[in-house]
Amino acid sequence: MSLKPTDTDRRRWSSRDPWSPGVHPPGAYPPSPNGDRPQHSNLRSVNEVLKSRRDEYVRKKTIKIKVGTWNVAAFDKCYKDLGAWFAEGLGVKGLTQDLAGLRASTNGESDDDLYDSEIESVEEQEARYTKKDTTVPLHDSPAVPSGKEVDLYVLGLQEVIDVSSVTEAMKPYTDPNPGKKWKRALKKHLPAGYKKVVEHQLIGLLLVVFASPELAPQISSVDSTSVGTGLMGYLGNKGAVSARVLLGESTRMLFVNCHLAAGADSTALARRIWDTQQIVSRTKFEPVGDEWVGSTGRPEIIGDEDFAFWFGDLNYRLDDIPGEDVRRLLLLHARNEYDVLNASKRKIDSELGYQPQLPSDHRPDNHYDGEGIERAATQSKAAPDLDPTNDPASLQTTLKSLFTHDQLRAQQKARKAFHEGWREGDINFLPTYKYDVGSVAMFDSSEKKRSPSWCDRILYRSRRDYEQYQQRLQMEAESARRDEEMQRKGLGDASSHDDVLFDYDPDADGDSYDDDAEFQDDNRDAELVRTKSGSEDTIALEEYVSHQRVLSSDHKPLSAVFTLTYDSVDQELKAKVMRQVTKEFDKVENESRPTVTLVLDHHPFAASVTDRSADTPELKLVDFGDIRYHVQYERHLTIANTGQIEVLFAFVSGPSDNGDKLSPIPAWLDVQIHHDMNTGKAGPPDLGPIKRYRLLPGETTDIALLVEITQPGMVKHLNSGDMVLDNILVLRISNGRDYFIPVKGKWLQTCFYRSIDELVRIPSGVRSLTLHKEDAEAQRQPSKNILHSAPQELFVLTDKIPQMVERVVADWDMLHNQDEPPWNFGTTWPFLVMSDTTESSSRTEQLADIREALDTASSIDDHLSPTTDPLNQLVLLAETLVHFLQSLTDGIITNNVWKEIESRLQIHEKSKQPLSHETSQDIVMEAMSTTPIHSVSLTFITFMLNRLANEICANSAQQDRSVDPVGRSRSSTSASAMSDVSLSSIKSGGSTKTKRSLLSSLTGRSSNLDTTATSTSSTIDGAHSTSASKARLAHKYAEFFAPLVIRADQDHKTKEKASKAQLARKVRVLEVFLNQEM
Amino acid sequence: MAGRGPAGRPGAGGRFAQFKLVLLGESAVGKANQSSLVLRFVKDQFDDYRESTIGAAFLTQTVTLDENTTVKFEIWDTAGQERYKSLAPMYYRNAHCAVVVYDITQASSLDKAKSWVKELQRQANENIIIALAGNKKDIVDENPDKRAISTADAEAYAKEAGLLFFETSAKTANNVKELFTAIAKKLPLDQAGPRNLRANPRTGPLDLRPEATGQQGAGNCNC
Repeated sequence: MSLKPTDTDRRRWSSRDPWSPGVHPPGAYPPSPNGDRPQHSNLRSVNEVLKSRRDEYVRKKTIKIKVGTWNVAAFDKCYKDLGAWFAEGLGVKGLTQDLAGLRASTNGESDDDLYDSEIESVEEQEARYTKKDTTVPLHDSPAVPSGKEVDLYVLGLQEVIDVSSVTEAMKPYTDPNPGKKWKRALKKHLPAGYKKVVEHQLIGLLLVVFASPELAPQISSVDSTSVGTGLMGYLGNKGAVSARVLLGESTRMLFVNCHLAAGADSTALARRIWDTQQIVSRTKFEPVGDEWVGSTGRPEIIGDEDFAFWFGDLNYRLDDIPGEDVRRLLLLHARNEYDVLNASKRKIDSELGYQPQLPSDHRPDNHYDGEGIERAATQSKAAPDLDPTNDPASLQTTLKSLFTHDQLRAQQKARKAFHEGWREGDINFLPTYKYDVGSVAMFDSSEKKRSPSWCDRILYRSRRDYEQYQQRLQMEAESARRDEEMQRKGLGDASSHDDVLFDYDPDADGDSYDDDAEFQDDNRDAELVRTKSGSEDTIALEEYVSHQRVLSSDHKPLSAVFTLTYDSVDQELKAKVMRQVTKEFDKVENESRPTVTLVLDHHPFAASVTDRSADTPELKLVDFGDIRYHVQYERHLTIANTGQIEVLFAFVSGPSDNGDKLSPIPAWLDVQIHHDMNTGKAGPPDLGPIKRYRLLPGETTDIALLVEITQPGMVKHLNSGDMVLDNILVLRISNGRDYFIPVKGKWLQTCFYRSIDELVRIPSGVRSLTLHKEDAEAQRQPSKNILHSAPQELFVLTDKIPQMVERVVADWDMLHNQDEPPWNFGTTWPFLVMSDTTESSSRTEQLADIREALDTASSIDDHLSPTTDPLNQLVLLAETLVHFLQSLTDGIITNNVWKEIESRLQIHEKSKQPLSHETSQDIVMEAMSTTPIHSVSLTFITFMLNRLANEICANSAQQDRSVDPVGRSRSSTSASAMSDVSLSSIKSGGSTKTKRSLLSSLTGRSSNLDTTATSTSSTIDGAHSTSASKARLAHKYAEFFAPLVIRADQDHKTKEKASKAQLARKVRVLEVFLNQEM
Repeated sequence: MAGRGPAGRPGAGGRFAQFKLVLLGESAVGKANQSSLVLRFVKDQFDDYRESTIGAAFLTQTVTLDENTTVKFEIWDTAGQERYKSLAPMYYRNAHCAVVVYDITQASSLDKAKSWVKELQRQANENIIIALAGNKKDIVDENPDKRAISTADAEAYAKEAGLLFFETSAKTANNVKELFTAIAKKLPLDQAGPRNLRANPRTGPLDLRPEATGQQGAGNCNC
């Protein structure tokens, strides 16, 4: 196979802008056809290794997360309270803190501390409600972690827009202005530097997340979305906004702020369940965009997270209990918190139908203990030693008993909603809904007197909770399947009993009885959770309180504080590990590159040349030495795979100046690699469609570099110096380095493919042009002066060939006796169109030797192989002459001269006058008179041909006789006589001078072509026979040489007929010079 | 919709970009390893590195800018010889960045570097980031008389031509890492966007080698 250019080999080499569209952006990853290269670093492989070394750069870090939810019921004023309760943790303390669920005395504070005397009383607080100011009590102090104590603030608001308005709900867009207002209000109260991580609004639903300056850099892969489940099932007056964030690259956090369908009836309950299902099924997040945690490409859904927080106005009510009873019961509890003179108490009393009490009834313990119709529900302070949870009269007991009616808890147990592992903290606060706006504990005193409910909730769930739920489901399904199977088999009680014994699991058993514990988070110890990405995190609920003293909405805000311990990424350590990992990758990648060894096979002319510069290593140079026309040269490189992995190699194109496609191999060179090609389509992109070869480790192959310059254009360019044999091959090892292989040769000037005008100006052999290297440019140009009357090369050949013919003819009988001589076959011998000698290296060499003799102007005899039969030598010489004539760039009768000759011939043709030979000769000689060199050259040819014709015909006549001695004996004498004449004539004409003198004699001489008509008759005498056969031969010579000698532009439009006529004219023109008696 | 998180914050996996860098000038593949910047740059990857044949060396080196940003250089170190100058376009035509090296102890070498810079600015990608590196700082540090090109002159030229400039020592590794880090920082990481810089699971590394074929063009590009 060869690496000569073909269309498929040619590759586009053009400057491409790596940044331009359509080309890959830097660093982007186009598809790799060779995907299995694990040793190469890319984001994925680096991340995989990084992940395995996680322990080196993650550090456990504990943060506090505060989740808040508040239905602001479109009360414009609420935003003024937002920062106070959520960011600052206010609105809990005071007389009402028991109502708010604040855990008493857990922090060891004394009661005095808890009941901060400075704090504004409920009475005063409620009294100033009308003022357009914050409703939170004055001189309050934080009851739950706040400010900088909290690292992540997660806030869900509902009804920041009046969603009961159909116009608002139908709006196709969300008005972002309310969201901005709330966000600003919160930001104002957050410590400086807290950064917004999430903001997402759906009509009235707003979810915002702020992170501390320390935590914010740990948060990534933030995505948020919303699901509308309101009007028509999708509008945003109800629904959820949700956000997913990644903490420390490994902990997935989910926040869902929802507002479910309202209403106490069973339809509303069913709708809430449907809403929840919709939110779960329709909430989707972008996958975490990296290989860090093995992204599958599918969107993330609820359940993929490690920690979920679901909060908002879930709108669950109390079932199976008259709302009025609940109201009364809770108001009684609230009333007990106030002293007698308290306006708030009086309000509650009046609501309950009590008579106002006198101040004298005031007891030192500040607790109401009146003598009303109903006895006070509790006297917590009167019995301080009694655990409130065990005190049947305590608020906690009341709340607990009420809580058994909670719809949400019932739905969870019935596995209709929020049963999938969701948990909630203990509810020790009053129902969050519905209050008279502006009051602390006054449940809806309006006409409707709505039943108080825990509408607002904060649920949470860890991955472990969810997994346990799933395991339980699986276990139940399994046991159900077993039960069914056993029933089908009709097994008796005994075996069934055995099964029960074996399968008894005290934990599972306990679970099924302790339903409440499943959802109620009464275990406040930190819970260990293994995250999706394998880190071990813990979470614990610290606080779950309502901000009872926030008066601006009919809902009370809720907040829950969690402590989360997670794997935090130490950025500096990670960067350090990353550097180590990438360095290791680079090392592996660079050391595992394919390596080859290139060896230039020893050759006398190809000795490696060492660059003179001391700074450069040894060059590998393929030097072909002298390169002659039409001679084949060969060099060899051996390429060995000396590396550990398979090698693909190919020669690739160098750059081109004008963007043209270049072949990897210069036109003058042929590269042959006898080796299996890599035919697989999935070749490395750097080699592209170029032929590439596969070498397995330890394999070697031979690269043959071949030069044989025959192409006319190339010879001309080399002769003129426009082209040099000096190129650099680029051998590319796929995914490895490039090897530069300089290849050069020295062109030896040749007489072929030159013009006669050029040749006569060259002193002595074309090779002399390059003898003086330092002056090569000047010497390459032929001299201005004509140094020869005709090309020496032409003279040498036309002189030598007749000599050889004479010798061969003379020797024939002696050497070959009875054999038919080659010139008797009626051919143009010794000029053969088709070489009948088999191609052999010796023949090729001899031809090259003859050309060398011509190029160097040395004796032909010295270059003829003495061992070669003269007959063959003659054929070689004749072939060289034909080739020389063909290669002349101008021709002996040039195109212009021929045009003139032809036009004059055509005039004669038209006049229908017979054209005599003399006239024809005159026409030619006249036309050629302007180019004497060509004229002399023509004479060389015609003179030679005449000599040959005479010689051969004379000999043929002789041969005829000898072959058929009876019939042809008469002609022998005259034929041999003729032969003698011819020979002597030729012998005397062996110099240029003689030939030149012949020119005039030829023109004036008459010919006897008219005798040819009868030449075939065997009865005609010898002289006539010779003359006739000579004429025949002359015609054949003319036919053979006319196209070689005469150049005529071939017009493509020339019709076949005209073309034939032109050929006939050429032959005739040449023929008139041939049939000459000598 | 709001709530896409802090703008420009890369994902947890960070950014990973590959760029082609070409080394030109009196660099490069010297017979002494000490004079080769690229070998210095990647030196501690190799126990032994032998250079036997002329050609363009191909090596990779990854620079970690921070914990989230990694830049992988695919370095083509072209042979410094004049003889192979004509092949240089193969390597710089698709390069994102180039380091042109001169020898601060040889007065003529800056002129050669300048001609490289001129050629790059004319022929290479118009956004190519070029750094000028004056090598052999160690020699001058030891013997200030050996200095042939003043820092101020080179710096002024670099400033005028819009090049990054460092005086380096391949021998002592002085400023070598800084040079490559500075280039990495100047590369258009953000222009491509983090999303584009992230690895696509279905694709392999970008081939930035010279003459990467058009076959992998728009048709099957996943970016």
